[in-house]
Amino acid sequence: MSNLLAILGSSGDALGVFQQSLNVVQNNINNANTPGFASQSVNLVAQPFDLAGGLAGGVAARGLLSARDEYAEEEVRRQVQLLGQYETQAQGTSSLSNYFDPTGNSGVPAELNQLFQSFSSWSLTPSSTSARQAVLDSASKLAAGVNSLAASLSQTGQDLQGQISTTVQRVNQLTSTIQQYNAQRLRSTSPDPNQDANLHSALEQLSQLVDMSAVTQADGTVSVVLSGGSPLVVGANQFNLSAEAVVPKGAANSQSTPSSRILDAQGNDITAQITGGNLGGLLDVHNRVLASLLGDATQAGSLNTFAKSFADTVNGILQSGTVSPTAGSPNGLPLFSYDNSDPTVAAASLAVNAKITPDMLAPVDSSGNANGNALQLASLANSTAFGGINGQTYSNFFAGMTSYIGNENATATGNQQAQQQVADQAKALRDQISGVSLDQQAIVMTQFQNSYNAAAKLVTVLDTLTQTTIDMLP
Amino acid sequence: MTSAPVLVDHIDRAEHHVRNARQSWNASSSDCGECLKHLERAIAEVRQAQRAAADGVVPPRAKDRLHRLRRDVTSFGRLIDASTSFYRGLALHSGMDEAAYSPAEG
Repeated sequence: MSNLLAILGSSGDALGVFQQSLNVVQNNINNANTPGFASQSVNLVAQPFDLAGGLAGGVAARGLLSARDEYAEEEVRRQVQLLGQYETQAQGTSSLSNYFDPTGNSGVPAELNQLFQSFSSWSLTPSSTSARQAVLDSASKLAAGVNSLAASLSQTGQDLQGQISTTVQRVNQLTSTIQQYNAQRLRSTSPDPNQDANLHSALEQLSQLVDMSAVTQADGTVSVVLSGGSPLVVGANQFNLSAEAVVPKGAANSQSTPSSRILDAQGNDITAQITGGNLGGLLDVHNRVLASLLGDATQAGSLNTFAKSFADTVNGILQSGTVSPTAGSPNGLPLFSYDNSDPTVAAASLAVNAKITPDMLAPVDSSGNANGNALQLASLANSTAFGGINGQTYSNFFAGMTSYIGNENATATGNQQAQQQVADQAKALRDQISGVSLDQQAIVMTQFQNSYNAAAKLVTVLDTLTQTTIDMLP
Repeated sequence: MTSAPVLVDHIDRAEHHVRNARQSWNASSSDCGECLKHLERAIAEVRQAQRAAADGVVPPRAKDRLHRLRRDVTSFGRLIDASTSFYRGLALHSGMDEAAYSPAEG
């Protein structure tokens, strides 16, 4: 009789366990499209069977098994983080490149060319009032073009700064979600599948924003630290980041565009720690690419270098000569003016000298040649004999800026496209190995590595051959 | 036919094979025989392009086309490298060091 009761009891337990399994399967189906959710199964354990001893066998549930593989999750986060970085680099450099016409037919290069043409025409009729007026008009257009470019770049800088602040807020929201998970986890004995899904969804979103790593602790909580080591979440503690735009006190260029800085919860500058994710990409475009054009606390920026050098050269030539060949004629006035108090404001403040009139332009050089100065100014178009920057003509220097921003954009866009494939592949591989036993993985791993190795070798040969062919071409 | 169009034709076909190799690549499958075939064909085309370049006239833009081809190859290489590092890392992570490919031992 006792055996019969044991069997009935065992059967009842088994039905309960199978019901639990069905519930888990139903939960898997319900959450098939939930971000971050990993399917689960009930760990069924056989019970001892010994009828003589009153043990009726059957099965018992011993917790839930998750199909999630933390290694694969971390790999996806690593690739998503790179993708996030390249995405914002591509978007940011694309915004900047919109202001530089690679054909040179519009914007500053076209206005510069127009000014050179007016210098050339002036050299043919140095005393002509209309030729002199044409010089002033072209100079005004060039100054306005440089001002406009500086203003557009500055506006892009402010937009980038806004995106940086928004991204930092989003980072703090996500770390708050993770902190709440940890607090919940410390209160419970086993992880809740829905909370676990929220956690992993938050971690994946966070990895797109910033380069970080996540480590599961023995108590089940997840610690999140930036790649540079600053903590974001440890146990039930969250450490908020903040963003600010500052020109450091005592900086050489006190009026420069502020650099963007990220501060940790204690107010320490941790900008250098953030090199990946959307935030790393935004900081790179703002603090490196844009700063190289518009300047910052320590550099003038190529646009300001261009504006200052061109104005100084033109002014120097004009001031060295006289307004007419007649003896006793006054020296010429400078054509351009700019704010000389800070090297980073030259482009924004470039203007035609407010006091100059056509008769104050000096076409006569210091040797008395009637059109000597006008010829020198016209020659700046394609010669560095009378001025230039780093051995380049002004047109070529500006073309170099256009080329620089174009290359930055092309590199970032290429990286983004390639990384999108790598990130998609990492997600596919994560799905592939989730729930697969380690033994199965060991077998496929050896097979895969042989295939990968063969493909990698062929790609190396193809890459080398292509480069050799490129080198053969003139 | 002069060597100029021949050179571009070979670059065209090499690009086509690299594109096909990329499409047939599946990191979740050990069978990438199709992909290897496309890569071998791409190599053959680039060798032919090299001979054509050595023979005669180089058309304008040929160098740009080759740079584009090389970018595609580099991009595909990154995908393969990522797969390799994924499984190598997984093997180490799982404590199956012997299953991980070693460049020194093969």
